Amino acid sequence: MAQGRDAQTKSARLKRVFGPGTLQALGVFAGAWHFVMSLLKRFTEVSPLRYAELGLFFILGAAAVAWYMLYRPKIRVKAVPAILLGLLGWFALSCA
Amino acid sequence: MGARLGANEFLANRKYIMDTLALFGIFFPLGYRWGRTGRVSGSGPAVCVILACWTVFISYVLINVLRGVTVELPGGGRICMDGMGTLRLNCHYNTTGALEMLFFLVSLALALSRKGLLPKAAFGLASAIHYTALVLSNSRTAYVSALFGFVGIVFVYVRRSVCRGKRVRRLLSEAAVIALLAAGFYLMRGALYSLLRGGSSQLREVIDSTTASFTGRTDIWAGALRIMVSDIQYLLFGVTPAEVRGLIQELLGYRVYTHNQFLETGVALGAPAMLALGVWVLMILASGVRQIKAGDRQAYVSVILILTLLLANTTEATLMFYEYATGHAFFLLCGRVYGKTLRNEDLSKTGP
Repeated sequence: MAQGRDAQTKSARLKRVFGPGTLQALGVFAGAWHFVMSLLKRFTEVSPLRYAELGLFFILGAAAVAWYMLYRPKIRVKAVPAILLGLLGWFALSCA
Repeated sequence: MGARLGANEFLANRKYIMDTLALFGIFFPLGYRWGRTGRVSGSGPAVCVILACWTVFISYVLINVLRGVTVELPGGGRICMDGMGTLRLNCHYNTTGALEMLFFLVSLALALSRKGLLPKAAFGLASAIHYTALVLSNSRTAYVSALFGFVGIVFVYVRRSVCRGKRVRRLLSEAAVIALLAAGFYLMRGALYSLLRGGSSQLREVIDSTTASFTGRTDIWAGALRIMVSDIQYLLFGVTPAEVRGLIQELLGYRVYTHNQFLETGVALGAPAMLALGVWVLMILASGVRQIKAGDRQAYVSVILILTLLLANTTEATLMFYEYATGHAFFLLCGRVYGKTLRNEDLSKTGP
């Protein structure tokens, strides 16, 4: 019983940390970062910051996976995001 | 599949891959969330901070270049008026125009939609500053796109108060408002240019000197098509974004991108990707039109901005691969339209 309650508390705590709001805030931060970098790189060499951006993408990806593991949303297959994913896959195929 | 270099194409294309990931994985989902829930926490302040910083920077650039002072950048770049009297932000003048067109329209839409005198005045001032930079960039594509966006956005705000009466009278007054807005915006360019640069004849010279660029573009488009059909592998999988300029240089003798977003996608990723992107854009636009028909004014502004960006990218390629602010805005707006579609679907199933 106690173990089950502990697991529930842990899950609730994790859900507080990895709530949709956290993912969203990370997304806004990563988006703003990429946007600002795209403007800045026209004027100055900012390669260390670009690597930081790559790191940010990994964090965002990890957060998205954590969010999915916790919430397991019912995914509806829709054409619009499916085409975007397909384009991304095609890009990878093109580079292969 | 599209590899030509003999090197690792993933490494050669790393910045294009990163940009595509950001567009598809961050900006589109953020727009989707915005459309689905009506707001995204933190996005309002982020937009305001970016807009404010960029406006301050552009004001600084304008104050200097109009006094004939060159702005030196930390990386060694310089911003000044070039020999043709054109403002370049350390990049091609069409890119400068596309950036400033986007900031002008976004600040204009914010100025019109915000309540309260102070936000209206602040966003209005920002739109005036970006409009000035747009005019000085001398980019015709960006200006025509801005005209389309300006007329579309302002029209929806003035239509209800100006266009009244029965059907025919209303349609005539709407046509008159559109014509007046378009003519006013068109004439404003020459007036502002002569005010800032001392004589509109100089603008005419600049426009005449760049007219040849359209002819150049048809050559580039034909060259891009030739590359696509020259090899079945290129037609199916493209040559990857990193290789496009090199191939066009081999063909035409000068290093340039394809100057059309769909052609750029076709040459870089192949005909199926070009087709998929076209279908995707049409699906988003169809969703937007359905929302407009339901009387959604915000969807109208989103669709006008999407169409403006598409129009600007018939002769440019700033939506994908090259990390332009225009691409970020495009995918954010597309996500918003799509999110709103799903929100409306949910509401129609469960009731408001």
